Amino acid sequence: MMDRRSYLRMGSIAALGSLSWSDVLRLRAAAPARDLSIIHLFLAGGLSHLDTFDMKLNGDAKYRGPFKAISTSVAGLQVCEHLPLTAKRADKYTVIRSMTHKQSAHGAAQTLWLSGHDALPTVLAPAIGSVVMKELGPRNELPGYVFVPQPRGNNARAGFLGPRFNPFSAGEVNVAKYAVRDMDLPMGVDWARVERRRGLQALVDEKIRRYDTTDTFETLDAYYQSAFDLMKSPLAKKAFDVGQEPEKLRERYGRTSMGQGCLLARRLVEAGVRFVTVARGDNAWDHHGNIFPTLANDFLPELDKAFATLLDDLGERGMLDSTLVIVSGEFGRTAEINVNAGRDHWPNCYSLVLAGGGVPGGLVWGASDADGMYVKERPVEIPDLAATIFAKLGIDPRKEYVSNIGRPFRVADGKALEFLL
Amino acid sequence: MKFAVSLMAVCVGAAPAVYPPSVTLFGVGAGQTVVVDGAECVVTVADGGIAEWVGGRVVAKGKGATWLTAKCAAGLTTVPVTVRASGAALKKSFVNDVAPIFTMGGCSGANCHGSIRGQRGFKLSLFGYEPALDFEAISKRIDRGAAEKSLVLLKATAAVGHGGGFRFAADSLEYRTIAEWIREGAPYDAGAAPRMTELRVYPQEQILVGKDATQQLVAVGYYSDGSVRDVTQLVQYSSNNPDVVQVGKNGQARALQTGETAVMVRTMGKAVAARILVAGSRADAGYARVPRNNFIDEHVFAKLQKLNIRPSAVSGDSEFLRRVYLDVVGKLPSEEEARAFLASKEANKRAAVVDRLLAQPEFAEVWALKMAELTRAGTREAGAKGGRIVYEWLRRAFAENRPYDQLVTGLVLSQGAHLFGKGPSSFYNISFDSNAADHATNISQIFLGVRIECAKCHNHPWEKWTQDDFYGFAAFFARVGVKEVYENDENATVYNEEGVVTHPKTKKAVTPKYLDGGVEADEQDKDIREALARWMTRADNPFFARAFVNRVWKQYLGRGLVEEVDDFRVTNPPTNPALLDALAADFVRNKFDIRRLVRTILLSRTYQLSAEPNETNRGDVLNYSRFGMRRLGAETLTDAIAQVTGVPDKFAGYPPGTRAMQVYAGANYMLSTFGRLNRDIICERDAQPDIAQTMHLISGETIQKKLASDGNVISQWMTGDVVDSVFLRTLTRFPTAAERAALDAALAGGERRAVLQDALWAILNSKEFLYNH
Repeated sequence: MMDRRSYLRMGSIAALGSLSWSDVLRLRAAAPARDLSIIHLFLAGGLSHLDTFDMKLNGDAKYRGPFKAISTSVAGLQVCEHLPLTAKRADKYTVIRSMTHKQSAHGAAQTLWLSGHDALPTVLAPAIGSVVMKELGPRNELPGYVFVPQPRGNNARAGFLGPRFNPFSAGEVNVAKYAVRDMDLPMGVDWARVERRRGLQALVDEKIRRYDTTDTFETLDAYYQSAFDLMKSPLAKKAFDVGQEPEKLRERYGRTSMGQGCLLARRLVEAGVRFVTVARGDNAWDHHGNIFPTLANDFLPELDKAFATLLDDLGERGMLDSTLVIVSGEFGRTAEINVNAGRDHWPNCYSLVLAGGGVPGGLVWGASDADGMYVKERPVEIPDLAATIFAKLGIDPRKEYVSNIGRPFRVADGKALEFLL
Repeated sequence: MKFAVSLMAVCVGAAPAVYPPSVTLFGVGAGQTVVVDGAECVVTVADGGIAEWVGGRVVAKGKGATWLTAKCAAGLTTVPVTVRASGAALKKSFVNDVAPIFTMGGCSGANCHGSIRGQRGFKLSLFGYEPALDFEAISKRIDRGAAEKSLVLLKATAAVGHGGGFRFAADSLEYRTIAEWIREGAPYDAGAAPRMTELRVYPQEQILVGKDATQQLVAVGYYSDGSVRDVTQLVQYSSNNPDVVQVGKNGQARALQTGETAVMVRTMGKAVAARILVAGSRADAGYARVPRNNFIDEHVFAKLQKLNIRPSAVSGDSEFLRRVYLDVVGKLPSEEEARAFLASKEANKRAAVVDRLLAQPEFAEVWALKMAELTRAGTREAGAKGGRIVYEWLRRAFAENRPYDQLVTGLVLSQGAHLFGKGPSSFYNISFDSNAADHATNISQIFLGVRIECAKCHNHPWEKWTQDDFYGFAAFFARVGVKEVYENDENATVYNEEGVVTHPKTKKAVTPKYLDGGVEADEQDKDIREALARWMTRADNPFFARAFVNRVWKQYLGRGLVEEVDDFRVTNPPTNPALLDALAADFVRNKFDIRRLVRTILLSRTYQLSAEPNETNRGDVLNYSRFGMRRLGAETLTDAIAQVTGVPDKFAGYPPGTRAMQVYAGANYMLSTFGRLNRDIICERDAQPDIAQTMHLISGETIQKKLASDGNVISQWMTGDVVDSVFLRTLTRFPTAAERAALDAALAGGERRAVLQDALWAILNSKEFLYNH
């Protein structure tokens, strides 16, 4: 089953575990500093690990799907036949096959995955991207945290950190004449006219300004300023204009939500955005019925082109080392195939893929049992992964905030994973 | 729910307050911390043979009854002291002595060993609510042969590495208690061992004057064997707002800045709260009496006087008119209405406008939409069509001023086909399998203001609700079902002939049980929901009226007396308990008359105060000393923009002329960006701004299309002096001199239509327009 190379890859790091923050600092001091950005391909709804990155060819036949496994650029690692481009780039990424948690409903699991914290009834945990914004701020006039197309509910939002740190919604990119909503001035209004308007706005605001004893009005003023800065910015205009990309490259990414979303993500990161989440609609990957044709004809080709081209494109531009790409849904799917020929929610064991940003390539971390139902070795929990992401960005995962109800709230409850740093 | 207020010793010249109000000691040597609130005090115990006063504590010397006297500069107070025989064994109890240490030390907090995952393999129940589980975990970490080598002690004293650091010293009471328990064999309490049944904290409310003022809290535990014990040093204290009041491990609260907060006191799964108010200065003699319009003002201004905060002046006519229109009917007054009201010299013109607005159909629309959102009308299979039926039912109920008890009874008893029924039949159609647990969660939260959902999976860590309470309440909905009606291709809510709720632990059918109340037999030929509705709407139900008046209060004053509005619990006390009680009592006395309740609120001076702060109330956001500014809601803002520009919106699926407030389900970009809920879960709207809103106001179609539209209001303004009209139509006021000058100059120098477009843009983007003030 396992060849020498991948065996060595797995064995050589077996002794390493989770780290304290001082260990992290020591390791970081030794490694070249990276000003890291993150692109998260969020497979909302839940990717079937069993039909993609953790296929069980020798498992119980009643659990097996119809897909074949194919070899990859890393001997010993196989992936689904419907991910041929991804297969050729296996030397660029790490597959964690031992992700595990206990939240089997989308809402609670997405809160956990996007924030790194279990959902609580009284505390709205900030998303990882929001914490990154709070700690590091935007790099320039572009919003630092962007969600493509837009977040659903509160899961990707800033929670108790406040709406300043919410993601900026880029909207659906795979449309004719993509533009960010409300970014351009209306027809017939030029910037000189905007200045006149703002002059009168400021005059009207004078009367009521003294009514505010909190910072509500200042915050509102700051929003107007950022909005105008963004609307005026040639850098932002250019970054959001995916139409500037050569047709050929746009086709390589795929004319899909994920494909064009990933292309936009690369442009945004190139322009200075720190954290981009790309999703295909709300819970699109929630394949409770007819899963195999749906994956084979639609979702896997979309993911395959988008992910593989993103890796190539980042690599060609010398950005892969400073851009961490994460591919994951909020959980995996059941080994059992239900009466509707679908697979249901399964958080107990699933796979996650990481590339770029200094993570090892061609590595498989952890393993599931014979049918991919439970973790057999080296379980990885989301809080550990969250701590790893923060550590890679130079944010102390143990930092504490005081939440809306006065409860101390640690940025990440887990410990950073050394093999990813 | 019940929150007894004991406010003492704030007025100069009063006898000192002494806490606790009586002292009972069990066994010689037992002691009780006693706090005397006064200056220059001498404390004595009458019979030194029964008890003595030692270092802030009364300590028992022999059986009998005596009293303690605190003689202070301002007067004296006596407190009875009783010493009884000790019934309990002298051995250390795990439940009552050892387990509390882990709560007090913070070990069982959610960020340490109390987290769902535990910490480094050592997991305790959250805040010690399950001592039997904690016993198992702790027993594995002790050394019965040599107590001092026990891991729990080595870790806690940081003698070995401990992620949580140093918790207590080897010569501390905590250490000695644990060590002694280990030496006694580290047993778990026998079944008959006493359990704490009630925890009390004193004082329950206290005002601290000035920064760094302190108050020692006293905690007393009451046990199942009738004994009483001083647990001041055995409980965990935490301030709900540590920026206002900090509280030390020993129970000493210290004021940091003006404001108020509850201090939670926890141990062994019990939690209570003390309210600590911090005033900037003592109420001065020159504090002028503020005129009162009704009982609301009595309670609001009484509290403000205690805090030495003066309320703002009464709002001006234009502010009041704009405010009451936006709040009551979700619209702006027209230019003509504004001119007439501002010119009127009628003494009771404010009451007259309130009565006129309350009678308008828009009043019912505002409340029907709010209630439709709360009950999540039109979710799931019922869709827009089913949502419309619920909404219309609600709208009619509010329009005819149906008493609130009848309205809620109608919802609770609803059943029938969702799309062709008459009543709010899809009310129960909220979840995938429409189960009793979901209905219990929903109804308790919406109508009783109680979040019992945590108790579905485990006993509530901070509250009294247990799994038994949750499933007992859920059992009222055991026979409610949602089933497909094949003939009509729709769902229907049905009341089944049978159905039970099974307790997840005992696996037995649960008897319906009221919250904080008795059980009710489920008889087959009856709909037990009728009994539930009767219980909910009874005059003495402690939850029902309070929950609703709190919602109504928030609707008009911007902040609930209890906030969040559906989270009533002992550890989240109201900011003005007397006002909440008075509003609820008034509502019940007037037979749940919603319009009358709203009218009472709107006519109070409190509602009519200006939003402009004075020197004493700048920092106050909790006590209604000035009107709480808030951004217009999504529908109100959308409609106000349409009203100002004279260009109505079009909403997909609704007839022309429909206003946003009448869109009972679904949302366009403007509505969802400004906070309309998608009704997936029960929650309050978030009115905080964000950048997408700002960009939409700057260049989005909601404003731009209307400004560019040929038939808009500007076409009526192409001649003559229109500057007054521009401001009256948008801000319900005349322009200031500077505003008039600026607009006149622009009109003189520019193209008229473009200048007026710019003026409207500027006003629609102004804070005065976007906020209700």
